[in-house]
Amino acid sequence: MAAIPVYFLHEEDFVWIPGILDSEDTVEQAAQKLAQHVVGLRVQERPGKRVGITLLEDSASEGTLLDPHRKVGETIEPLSVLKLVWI
Amino acid sequence: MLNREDWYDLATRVGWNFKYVKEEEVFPPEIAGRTSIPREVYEREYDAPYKVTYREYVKNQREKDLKVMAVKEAMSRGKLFEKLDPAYRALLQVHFGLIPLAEYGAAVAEARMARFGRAAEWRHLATFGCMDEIRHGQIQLLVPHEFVKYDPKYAWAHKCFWTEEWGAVAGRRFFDDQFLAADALETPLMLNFAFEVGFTNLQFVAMAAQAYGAGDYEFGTLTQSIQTDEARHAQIGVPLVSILIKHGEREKADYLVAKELWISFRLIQAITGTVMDYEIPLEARRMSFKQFMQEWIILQLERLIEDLGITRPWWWDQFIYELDYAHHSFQIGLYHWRFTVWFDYRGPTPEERQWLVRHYPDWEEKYGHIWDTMIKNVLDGHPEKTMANSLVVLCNTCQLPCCFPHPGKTQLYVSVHNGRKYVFCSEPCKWIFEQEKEKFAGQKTILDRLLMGEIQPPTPEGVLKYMGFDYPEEMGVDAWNHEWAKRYAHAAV
Repeated sequence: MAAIPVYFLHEEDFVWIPGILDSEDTVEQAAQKLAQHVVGLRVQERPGKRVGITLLEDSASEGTLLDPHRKVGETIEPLSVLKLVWI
Repeated sequence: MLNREDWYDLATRVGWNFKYVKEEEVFPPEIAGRTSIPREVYEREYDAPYKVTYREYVKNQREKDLKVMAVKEAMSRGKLFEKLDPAYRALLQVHFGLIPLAEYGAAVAEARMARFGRAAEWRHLATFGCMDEIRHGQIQLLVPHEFVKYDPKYAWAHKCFWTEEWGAVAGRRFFDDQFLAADALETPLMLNFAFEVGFTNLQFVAMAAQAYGAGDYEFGTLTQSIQTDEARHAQIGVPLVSILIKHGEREKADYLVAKELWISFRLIQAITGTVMDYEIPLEARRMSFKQFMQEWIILQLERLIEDLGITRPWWWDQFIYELDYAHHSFQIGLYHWRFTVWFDYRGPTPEERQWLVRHYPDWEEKYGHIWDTMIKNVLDGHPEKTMANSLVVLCNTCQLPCCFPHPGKTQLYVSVHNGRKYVFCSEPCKWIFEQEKEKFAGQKTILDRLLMGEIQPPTPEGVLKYMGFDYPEEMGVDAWNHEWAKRYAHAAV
């Protein structure tokens, strides 16, 4: 298990925030943990929707939606730039 | 008795050539500034628009101080502070936290110019500038000192710059780059020209007007008095811009002006924009932050840039665009992360929200849903959810949260230097870093320090303690105890 620091932004939020991911978590588990810092605080729940993670090269790019079943340690490097999106 | 016009030039333009020492020993480039322009050119062509003699200075400053002290005394007797709106007091908390020790830093910068400026009149004016800034530091420590008995946050007038609170780090970065880490040729372009001519009109004149409107005659008189000094010593940089452009150093002038105008905008929209559009009582708001910027700042700046022949900064269109957004994003952040600052903010009431929409037509589309989420939490009995449970990413240049320009378009730019990743809130901030990498590369934001293991313990409590919060009473709270949000229970918005 390794701690992976990342920068992330929810697509409906206004500010980039840091997160610490567990390399052994799946992407889906990581998304849920990151969402706890945003959904219900600044962004409202969306019934029927869940949160996915997009990996960005920089914030101007569209990025790649990550496979929710893969492990964080296999797909996300330290200080990666991520966007949380409703899926 | 001679008139001032008969002797002023003779007295203020006294210079000489050196027989016993070399010029670079009198004006070492590391302190006086590196320039290819001969000193004789500075001596001959430096001509500031504002003239002052020592006799006039002493007389004028004495009168100003008497007036400020008289108003201060009257307000103290009337216990005015107790009658001020708690949200309005945020203006005082922010201002008095960030400004007083910065003024002392400016005195150092002015003193450097008073000794190492390459023209006699420049040195003459900087001497008064140094005395101005000492006055500003002292007076802006004296006034909030009386408020400490009401609220320990006013002790941050002296404490702030000695802490690692993230706003203090941003303030120090801003002022250090202009004052303490700059030479005598860089300071007048960055401090006097870009910041003082460009923006302090806003902070001091606008704040004075808003303060009077809110019934705070003490702060209004104080800031008005300070601005009269600023209007004088801000002129120090204007002749130097012309000299540099005329004599082959345009690139230096253009870069320093562009850098400092951008960083000044970041600072002003953060502290003045939020106060003007959210904390000043609605009935006291004479104009919006955007209106004031357009009428007082941008018009003046554009004219000045054209008159002096400065190249218009490449980021100008972004600056204009962000007037509709940047400070609104920052307001949410200062409220939601209020426990990390030393001042008390709040959200907009329904009536204030309508005012915001009138002045910023797509405010509701960009920001309404975020405020609605926090309002719902208050109305559902969970006001604690109006506070964040995380830190934020801070820009490695301006040190402010990466929250610009607005939701749906919030930017994060990345640069890698010597194996370390740096992040920025905008293209201009990234550009500034890349122009002076060696100067800025060693700096760490609070988040960097946490991730690098420098903050122990690495817990929320550890971070707050590291940032300098010794008592819970020092941390920001909701200025109205969520009353602004409760008004939505009965309002149709």
